[in-house]
Amino acid sequence: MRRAAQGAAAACLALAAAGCGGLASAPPPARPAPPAPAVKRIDPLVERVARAPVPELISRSLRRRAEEMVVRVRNVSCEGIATGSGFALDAHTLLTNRHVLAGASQLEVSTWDGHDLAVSTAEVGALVDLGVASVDGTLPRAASSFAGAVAGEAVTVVGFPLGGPLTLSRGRVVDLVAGARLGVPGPVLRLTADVRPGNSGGPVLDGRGRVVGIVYGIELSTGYGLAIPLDTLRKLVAAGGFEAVPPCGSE
Amino acid sequence: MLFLAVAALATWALYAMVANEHRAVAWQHRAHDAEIEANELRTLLGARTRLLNRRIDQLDTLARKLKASQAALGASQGDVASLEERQRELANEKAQLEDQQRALEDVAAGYLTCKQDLIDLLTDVAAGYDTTYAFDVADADCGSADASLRSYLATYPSG
Repeated sequence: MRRAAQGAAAACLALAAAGCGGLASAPPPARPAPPAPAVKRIDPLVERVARAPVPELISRSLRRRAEEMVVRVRNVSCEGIATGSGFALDAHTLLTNRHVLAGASQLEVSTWDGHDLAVSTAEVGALVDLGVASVDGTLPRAASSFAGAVAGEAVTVVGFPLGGPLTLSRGRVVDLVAGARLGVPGPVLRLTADVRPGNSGGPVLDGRGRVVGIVYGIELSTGYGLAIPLDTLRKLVAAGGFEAVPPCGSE
Repeated sequence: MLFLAVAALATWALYAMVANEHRAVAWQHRAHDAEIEANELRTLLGARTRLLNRRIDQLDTLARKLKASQAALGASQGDVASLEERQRELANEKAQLEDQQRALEDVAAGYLTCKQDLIDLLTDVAAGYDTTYAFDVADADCGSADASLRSYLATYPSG
């Protein structure tokens, strides 16, 4: 009986050993891939360059546009030489003041870069200090946008003060006052910007380069510059009343 | 009876052993597959990292070029600004000279009138005419020309 049990056990172990040997073996280990290289650090210059604002081209700047719009007006009269400013309404027409054109035996216009243009015709407002002149040749740039002005708004006066170089004078609109006592039939802008003789006829621009008025004088009691605002300007131009330039000595 | 018990135990042990070995081999296969996948991913990661590094190199190069271009643009803008400033100065000088020229033309015209008046006066004197009117005209016109010259010299002291 014991022998039979031992035989059975031996048979089972033999069977187990046979079973083990019959199983599939495990696959050989895969060859490990080389480690990935470290990621490089991006040069901080990239971010600096990417964030750096590209400067506006000079030829497109607000200053340049303002300069191109404005002209120097030379009035040769029996009383000598006088100068003022003006600005282009279109390629051949400019707006200025009556007193800039008045009494002229000869009118000459110079652009910011020194080009001279002859004035072919000129007219002045009969009751208001406005003048319009047409030139032979092409003005560099016409005023393309206009806007109203409000008290406190930052403005720039562009012109040729004292007949000297073209200047841009910054300031603010003080207020709009009744212009009757200041020679204008309508509201008038008072400005803190530096306005001198020779600025007359030059434009007053807002922060976006839009024309908001035209300089025509200085308030002697306060020193504020005076300008005819766009709304008044439109009404006066629409009302007409322009006449030939008065001859020298008539005013 | 004992034989049967030993046989059952041996069968169970055999079964357990075979089952365990099957599981172990299956896990080994899974581990092998996972290792292959990990290797593939590692290879892919390496390739992607190398590509990323090349892109970073390109980005750095482009940034340096862009910076150089920005500097060149700034310098060019500076040159243009300088030239335009000079152009403004020249335009102003030209305008001043033209003003002076027009004023001088005015003075010259006054003296030409004065000269003609004096010629007329001398002609009248030579002819024995009454020169009162011609003298007054010449005196007024020549005085006006002198005033015009004084005004010119006051405005343009350097002449």
